[in-house]
Amino acid sequence: MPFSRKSTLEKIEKAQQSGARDTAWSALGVGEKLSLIGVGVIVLIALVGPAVMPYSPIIPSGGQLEPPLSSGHVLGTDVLGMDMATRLVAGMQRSLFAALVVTLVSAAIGTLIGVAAGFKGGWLDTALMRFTDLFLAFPAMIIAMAIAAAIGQSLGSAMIGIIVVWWPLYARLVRGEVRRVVALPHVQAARVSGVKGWRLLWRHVIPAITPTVVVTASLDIGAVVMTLAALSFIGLGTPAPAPELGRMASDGMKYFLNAWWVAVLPSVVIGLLAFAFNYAGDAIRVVLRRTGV
Amino acid sequence: MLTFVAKRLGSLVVVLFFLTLLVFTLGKVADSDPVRTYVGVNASAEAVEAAREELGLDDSIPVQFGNFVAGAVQGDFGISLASKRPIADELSTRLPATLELAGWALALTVVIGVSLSALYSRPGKFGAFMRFVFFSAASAPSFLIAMLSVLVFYKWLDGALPAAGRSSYGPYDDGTGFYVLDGILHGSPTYTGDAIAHLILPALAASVGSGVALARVLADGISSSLTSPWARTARSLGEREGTVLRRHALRNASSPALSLLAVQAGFMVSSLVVVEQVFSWNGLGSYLSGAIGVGDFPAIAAVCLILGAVYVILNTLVDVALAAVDPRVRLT
Amino acid sequence: MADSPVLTVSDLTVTYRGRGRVVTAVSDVSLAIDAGRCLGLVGESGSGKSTIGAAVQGIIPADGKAEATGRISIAGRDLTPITDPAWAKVRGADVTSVFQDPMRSLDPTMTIGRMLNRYTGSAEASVAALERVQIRRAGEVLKKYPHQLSGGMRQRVMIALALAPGPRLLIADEPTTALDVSVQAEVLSVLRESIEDAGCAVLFVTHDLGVARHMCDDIAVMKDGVVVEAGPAEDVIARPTDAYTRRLMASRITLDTDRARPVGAPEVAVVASMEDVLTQLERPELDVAAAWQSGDLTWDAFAGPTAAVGAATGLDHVTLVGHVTRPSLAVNEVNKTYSTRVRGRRVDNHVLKDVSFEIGYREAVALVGESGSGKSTLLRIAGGIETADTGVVNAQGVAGEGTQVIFQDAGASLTPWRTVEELLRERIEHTATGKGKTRAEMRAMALSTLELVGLDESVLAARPTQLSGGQQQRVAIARAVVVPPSVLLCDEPTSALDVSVACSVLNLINLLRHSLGISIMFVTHDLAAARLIADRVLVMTGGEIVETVPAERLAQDITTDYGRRLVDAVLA
Repeated sequence: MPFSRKSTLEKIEKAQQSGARDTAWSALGVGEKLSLIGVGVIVLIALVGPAVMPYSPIIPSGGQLEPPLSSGHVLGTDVLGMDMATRLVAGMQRSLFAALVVTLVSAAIGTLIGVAAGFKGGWLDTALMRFTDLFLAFPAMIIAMAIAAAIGQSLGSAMIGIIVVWWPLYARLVRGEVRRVVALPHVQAARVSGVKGWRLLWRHVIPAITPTVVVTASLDIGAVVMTLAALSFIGLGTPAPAPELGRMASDGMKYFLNAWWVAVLPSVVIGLLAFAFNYAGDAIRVVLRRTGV
Repeated sequence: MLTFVAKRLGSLVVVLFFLTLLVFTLGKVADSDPVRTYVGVNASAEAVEAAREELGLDDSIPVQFGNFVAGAVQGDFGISLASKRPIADELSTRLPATLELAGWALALTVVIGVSLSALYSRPGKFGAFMRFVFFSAASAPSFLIAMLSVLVFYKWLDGALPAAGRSSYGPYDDGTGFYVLDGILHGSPTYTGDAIAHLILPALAASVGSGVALARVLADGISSSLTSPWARTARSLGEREGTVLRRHALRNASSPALSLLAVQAGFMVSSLVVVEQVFSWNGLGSYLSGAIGVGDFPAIAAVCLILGAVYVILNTLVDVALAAVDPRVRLT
Repeated sequence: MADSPVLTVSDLTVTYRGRGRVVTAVSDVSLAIDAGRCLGLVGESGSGKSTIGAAVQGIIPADGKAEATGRISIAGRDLTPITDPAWAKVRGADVTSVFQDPMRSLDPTMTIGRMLNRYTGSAEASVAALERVQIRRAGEVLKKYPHQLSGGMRQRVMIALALAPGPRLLIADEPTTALDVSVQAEVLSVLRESIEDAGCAVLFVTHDLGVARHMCDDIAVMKDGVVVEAGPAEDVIARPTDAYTRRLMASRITLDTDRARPVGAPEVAVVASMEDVLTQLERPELDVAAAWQSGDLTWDAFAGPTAAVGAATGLDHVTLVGHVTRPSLAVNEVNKTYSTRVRGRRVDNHVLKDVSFEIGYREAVALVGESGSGKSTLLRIAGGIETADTGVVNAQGVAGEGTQVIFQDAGASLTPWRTVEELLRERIEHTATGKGKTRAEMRAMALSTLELVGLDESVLAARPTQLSGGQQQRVAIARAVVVPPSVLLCDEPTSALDVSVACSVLNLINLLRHSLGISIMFVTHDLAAARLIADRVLVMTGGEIVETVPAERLAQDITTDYGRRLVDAVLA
């Protein structure tokens, strides 16, 4: 997986060093604007696409394995005669939704544990971080596979598998951030002023770590899309006829040399999704560093 | 240094234990009935009972776990529900296949990473274009790269490179299971060349993503090294940019790159699962996807355990290597 | 050739373009340095002095963002600023430099020997080079990595490195700013001797007039990219002609500075001492605390002396805390130990050893020492940020009003996303005084305190990032005294500020002490600042208070070796 979780962490740490906070559309470069617009377009397609497509994604609507640009099927049909374009748009929606849920849930669990460990400290910190480190030491993809395989073949189980291996990163990140922020002069000064407990956490600590978590999450969406697709590809997604991009690609492999589009097009869509989110996430990071408020 | 190694080995054992526990637990909560999968839906009650005993499911859970651990340590992972043969037999021929591919892919990752890192941090339009290309490559799923390379080198270039299997000739009976090595040991250039040709596309597909990630880390490290105060010191002493890069920046950028490489190696083991499936590579990965297809959880557990162990051991080795290189690591 | 200057800079102008703005860092500067002479380039941050330092080494990045006009001539070679390809030949041969940051200016992955041998040619020559900068056991030092050396040692290595190629011109860019004062004195003397031996010309960039006077033959004072005054060092220091130079000189605090008056050109006109007030009241023998409690003495009493103190009378919420017979702060046998693990073994660092002292009612006490002396730990314990292992710290005052802290980095001590009003209100809410106060009342309190520290209503809605460094420090002080504590703990509050800002902050602390009637604990490495603020100076080293000296007679009465070293390190 090219966007390993660790390199994501390192990128975030770099972004933090500049103490970045606010963003401004005007600070964006052309490529960055384009990538954000690209993400917007993708989200739009995923939201409204399935509703406007002329066919159903799970009912055959034409001949088998018709090539692109033939007989009213812009991107051809698959082996059961279902319209590829419709299935791809539906698959995008599924992918995107799943990736967002996985990222949000992982970030939420990790943030909760990280804040508890970092702010409370002491035995709670030690216990929570031992637990987290154990999960971090496991090979993420393999554990995700094992979990998904144990729960059963469906998108939901793949999502659970990924969440289980993804939250520890946020826990580590947030815990480190909280520890760092708590030691900063402004928190100490607030403490000296008499602020403590929830108020200190909420007013003086949490606002400092929020941008980090948000940037990390936005950088992670692309990686989650790809991980989900990989799990789906090796058979850990919902089986056909559900429009799931990874599964479509691996099923299409059987006819790949005669009908390349059934396998290649879903893979390309996955790549596009990941690319848009990776590029936009990186753009956000660069801009944050540049504005460096 | 000795205490550091001892500590890392200690935590290695702990992690491996919990990994085993996790996989075992998943096997218990798995939503399929292993006995039914084993004997079939229509089997008689006696057959089911016999199967229970054969699979060791009559024992209490802790005893089962003890047997599982004892077996795993000796390389015995039980019986496959699908093939009804010992899983270890199947794995023994497939593990070398996966390791061979992984080794080549890792080497290729380093080659790609180092050679591309210089392009990544170029200023101006060219650099921006390269970053665009890098992002594309890094965002492409490995199966997409695999498919495209098959289309190009197998279909359009008319079989310039083989796109399936490990060899056109089959294994040597007394071989090690590593085909390239076998070819060399038997002094057969044809066999060796054929094995290498079969390796190229799968290794490439498995390494492009990690290679690009490595290039990024190297490039980042080098560029931050080049702007550091000690690089300024070197310049003020009259060193040329090339010397600053070779003498100072590369050294300082290599240690984050090394630790990234360890992580990438772990991820590669898993992206191999995907690539093996595309190239019909007879390794652990294609075995795993086969097992997933029929719900053969003991087989899935065995593969996960082996790949997981490889990952954990590899990370420990890299940690020790880093500590040997950089004395500051040992203190933390 | 022998008579022409080693460095000649003519009409140098440097501009930076960035984010649509063009900033002129240096404009029309001309300089010349002869062989064997040292020119001090003195100015506050942003004056352009470091840009000149970079320009004469040709290390302004040629990325199109910086542009320069004018000529630079080094050892008879004419060079175009920035773009000249010949810089590569000059740099490292004719020009070398010593930088400010000794922590990061040496490659962390290389031994000193590996670095140095490249420029000296052999290990023997490297040993000799290290011995010239007074490093003992040079052979061992060659085998070490930079992180194994102290800051002073690293800076000596930097000097050895810079002098190894036998340069004609040495650039020293704030070479001792990051070092402790006594280390600074040592490194400066090493540097001075080394350059005298080498006979090269030196461009010495610094913000510190004392250091410049100590090191340099000539001084050029810079402000906003322009040289406002230049000449022989003694002339510039003793008879400054330019108004800015005079202000800079006046802002300097030495061991001879008049303690009774504000320093420099202060924004606050007069400091009213308690004695002044009592004299004005014609009751010099009044028992202040008793008078206060009986209602004999009110803040109205302060209305007379100055307008500035008059502002303080508006503080109706001010209450006198403490009692004249009891100390405001009592520190009793405090111990603190930090434990770290090095290679699996526990290493104890006993930073405070049975420290005891008291600060009387309205007294100001300075704790002076170098980094690692334990002075900051002591302050943090007194401020409740850390806890002592054993021992007792007792501050007078009701809950939340005993001690308050002013931190070194004021900007960082203000939560960036909270407004000034929110920060001050938060402080008021958490004190006994603030209980039950309405928002409007708290706002009025905040406002009158801001006026007292020399700010106005306009900063109430501002966030700290929108304020200047000096304003941030004033806001931090306002928060600390909006509900006056009995003791104000100041942790090097001026060491990160430019001299002119620093001295106005010192004046402000003095004013607050007298007008609010609070005690001060002032932690610093700077004896001159300590003497200015405090009545008594406690000298700390190795976690112990080794000496207590009355501030007025600091230079004369100090007796311990360590104390004397500190006194000698103050460069007049």
